[in-house]
Amino acid sequence: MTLQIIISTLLSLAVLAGIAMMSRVKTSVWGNLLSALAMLCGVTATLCFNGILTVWTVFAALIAGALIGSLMASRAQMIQMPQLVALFNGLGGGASALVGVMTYMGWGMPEEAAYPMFVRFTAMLAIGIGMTTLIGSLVAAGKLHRVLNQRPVVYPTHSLLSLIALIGTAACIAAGTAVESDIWIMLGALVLSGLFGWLFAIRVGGADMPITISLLNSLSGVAGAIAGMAVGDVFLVAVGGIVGASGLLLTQIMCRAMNRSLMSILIGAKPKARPAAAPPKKQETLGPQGQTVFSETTDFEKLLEQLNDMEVKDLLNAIEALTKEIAGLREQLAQQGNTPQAAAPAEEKTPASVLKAAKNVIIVPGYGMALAQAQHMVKQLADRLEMNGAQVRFAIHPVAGRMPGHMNVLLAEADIPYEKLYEMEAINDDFKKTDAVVVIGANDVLNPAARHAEGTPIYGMPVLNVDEAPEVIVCNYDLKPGYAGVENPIYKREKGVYLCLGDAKETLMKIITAL
Amino acid sequence: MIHPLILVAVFVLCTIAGYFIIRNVPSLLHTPLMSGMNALSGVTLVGALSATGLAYLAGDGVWAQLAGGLAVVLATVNVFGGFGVTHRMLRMFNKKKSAKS
Repeated sequence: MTLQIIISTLLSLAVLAGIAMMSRVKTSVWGNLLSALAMLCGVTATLCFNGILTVWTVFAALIAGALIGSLMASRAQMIQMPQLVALFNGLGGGASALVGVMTYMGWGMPEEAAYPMFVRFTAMLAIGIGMTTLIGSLVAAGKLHRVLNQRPVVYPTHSLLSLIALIGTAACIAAGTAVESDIWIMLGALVLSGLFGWLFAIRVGGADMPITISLLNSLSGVAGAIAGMAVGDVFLVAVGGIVGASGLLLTQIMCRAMNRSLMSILIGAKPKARPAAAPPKKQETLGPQGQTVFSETTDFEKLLEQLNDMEVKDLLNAIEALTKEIAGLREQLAQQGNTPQAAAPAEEKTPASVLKAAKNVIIVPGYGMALAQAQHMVKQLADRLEMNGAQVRFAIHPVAGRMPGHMNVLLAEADIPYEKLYEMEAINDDFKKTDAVVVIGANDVLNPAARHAEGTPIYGMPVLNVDEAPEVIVCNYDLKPGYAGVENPIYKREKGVYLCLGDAKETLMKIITAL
Repeated sequence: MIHPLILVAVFVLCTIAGYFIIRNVPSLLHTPLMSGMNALSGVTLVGALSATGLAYLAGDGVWAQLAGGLAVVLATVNVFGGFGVTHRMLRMFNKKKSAKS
């Protein structure tokens, strides 16, 4: 027993060391491997200490899980990362719930537990939290994978239903603590907490996804820790606690970045994002938006989905066609580039000419870049600009994309060195000193309306100071308001704004060709 | 059986330790961090293994084996998938470096 505790402590410290190593890019690979190794040792130790090395069912299940997990991890594309993380996370929560079920039913438990009330309580709690995590994560993964509606879905009596599910779960946990191995109480807890998970995740929409995922991540850690208390395993409790803390911290960081309180996301207090409650009364710059905008946005998402499916072959054809029509495209580009009547001097400015002259360029990527999978094009653009002798940097807003650090991963995939990626605080003062800014599929994170448009969902959110830059090239799909539904006044700026609308991949290709 | 209070204390301590260590992680690495944490949350595998194994030895029947087997599969997918994905991501961050050297 003492040996077991010592080993558990050592392994927990190894996990902590592994995480500490993840704070530097150079050591992070080793940190991850160290955590994995500690986990492997923990599993082996469990098998040995419990004398279950002879149980074949356990090994069959282990091998099956290992094969499925490795296959999924190696096959998945980088673009699918958010939903994959959410899916894995849910599975962990589900496993914790099942451990809770087994413990509560007394399966594999010593006849006389030393602290029966504590075991029953923690087992029931593990069921509740684990099941909420499982269903919540599956819904989140479904939304990210576009098999579920990405917009917030709100049922007529949503809050009431959530409250009932939550109270019901709590009642089941209390009943389960009092009554031993009652299958109906156990099933009740499973169903009610699952329902709560569904209700909680289904009303979360696109932009709040990063927060939801990291919150669910935290929950799955807590579920594991509670399950560890139920079975009396120190290692499990320790690692579960660490994961719970990390998820909570990430959640907190992102909430701060969006200037939203966690509660407002949890209880779905986003009436302003819904068309009916978004009267444009407070910003004089806004036209009458509302219902129409939102129905159109759905079409827009469908379109993007199609673009997403574009094959490499189509792309090659497109390149061929493009090279043939460079001359024609340049004209087109010139027209596009000057939509806002810039008081241009003798020569008309185009995005390409602006970039050619620029010595200091900042690129602002957003979720649109992920949708269009344009990160490789962005890399080409950056290389091209650097060949011209320009300094190219990337400004990453903390909540750009659909999970924390989403943009960093995509840009890393395209071989863009991480030294060129700057966090918002580090680069925000440089926007006014830069020659040109290229916005790729980003909207809300650079919307200056966040500073003054009171009453809108993004009011008070720190944004990138793109509006301070002398020349802004916007490569967005269209000019519709982003997820938050607030129009971006940058698009209407008189001078120095070039709108290149359409699929980011294509518009970028045009610009690169013109350079 | 370890005293419940010790378990709760371990939980609280690790939460605090984790909080302070993770605070140092730059946002550049938040996605790998989250996905690594996600893999770690599959640590519940340890609980699933002992419960399933002991249930088998105690002869607790088919239901126990089904529930336990499922728990082990889910947790293992979580662990292997999570670490695998994290490893892939971190390698991408380091790709440029290793290519240069």
